[in-house]
Amino acid sequence: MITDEQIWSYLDGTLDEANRTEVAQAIASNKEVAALFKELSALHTSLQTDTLLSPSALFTDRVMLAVAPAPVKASIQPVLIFIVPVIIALLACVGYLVYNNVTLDYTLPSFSLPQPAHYTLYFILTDVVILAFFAEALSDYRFNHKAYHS
Amino acid sequence: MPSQVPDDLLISRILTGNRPSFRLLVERYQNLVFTIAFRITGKREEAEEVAQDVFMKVYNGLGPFKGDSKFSSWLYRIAHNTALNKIKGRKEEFKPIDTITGSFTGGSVLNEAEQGFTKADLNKAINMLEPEEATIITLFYLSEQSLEEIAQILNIETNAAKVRLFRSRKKLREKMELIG
Repeated sequence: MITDEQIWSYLDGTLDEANRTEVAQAIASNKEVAALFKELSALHTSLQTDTLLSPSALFTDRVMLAVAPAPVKASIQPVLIFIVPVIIALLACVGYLVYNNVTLDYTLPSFSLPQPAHYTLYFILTDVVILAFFAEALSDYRFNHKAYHS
Repeated sequence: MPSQVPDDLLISRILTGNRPSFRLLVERYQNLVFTIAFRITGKREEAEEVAQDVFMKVYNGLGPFKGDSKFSSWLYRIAHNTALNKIKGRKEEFKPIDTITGSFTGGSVLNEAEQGFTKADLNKAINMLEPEEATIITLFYLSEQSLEEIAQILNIETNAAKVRLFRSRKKLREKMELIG
């Protein structure tokens, strides 16, 4: 009697010549064996033509991000380093000018900054730029440190 | 396969810091790794987590990888073990099965009608198998791994792999009858 295992081996092509002939003859002459062969053959074909499943579209990007998170911030880092201190410095300058204009236009009680105040202003502006630079660098470090350990 | 560059060459490039080569490796194997993971966990979300873990382990383990076995065998072993670990913590014995739609392109409607079951039925039945049985079926048919390679991946003897393949197909047939 031909067994399931023999038919599976026949389908896999792992039988030797003698056994292969025996199974082929049984399939041709025995209705029960033929029916079993048809059933297993259908399952075998289905498994062979089955297709792989796919993960979501962003899977590859997520893996790449997970193996090296640092470059994500790198693209915006140079912009922040220069833009933020410049904006702060400009705002400080505008504030200073507006303040001076107000005192001039409306002739408020005679008040004018003493000459050394210009040096104070330069000093303050330089401090603001340096502080902004370090604040941004600290923020950048904290972002990368957190991303690396998450 | 997205690229024909041999695995060994890709690995040596990755080890010199070439990130695009790792991307190629991920794209080459992600479907098979995901399929193995899905057939063990039964959930898409968990399968994606497992697949991501697998590639992280591969990335971090490429240095010590000696190349004694094929890269694919090493990768599938990691995928199988990582998926098994994922389901180890589950309290429930049953394996939830997410509905899969639009994932199958092989075979025509006529063929399915002749066979009496659909691709979805087949995958549902595979998901009902034990993890090792599902992995054996997947590796044998979808990855076209030999019994020797399957034995190496599952860390068993070749004869044991052959017996388990027969057993898996027998059980799959029973599950198909239950579904049909």
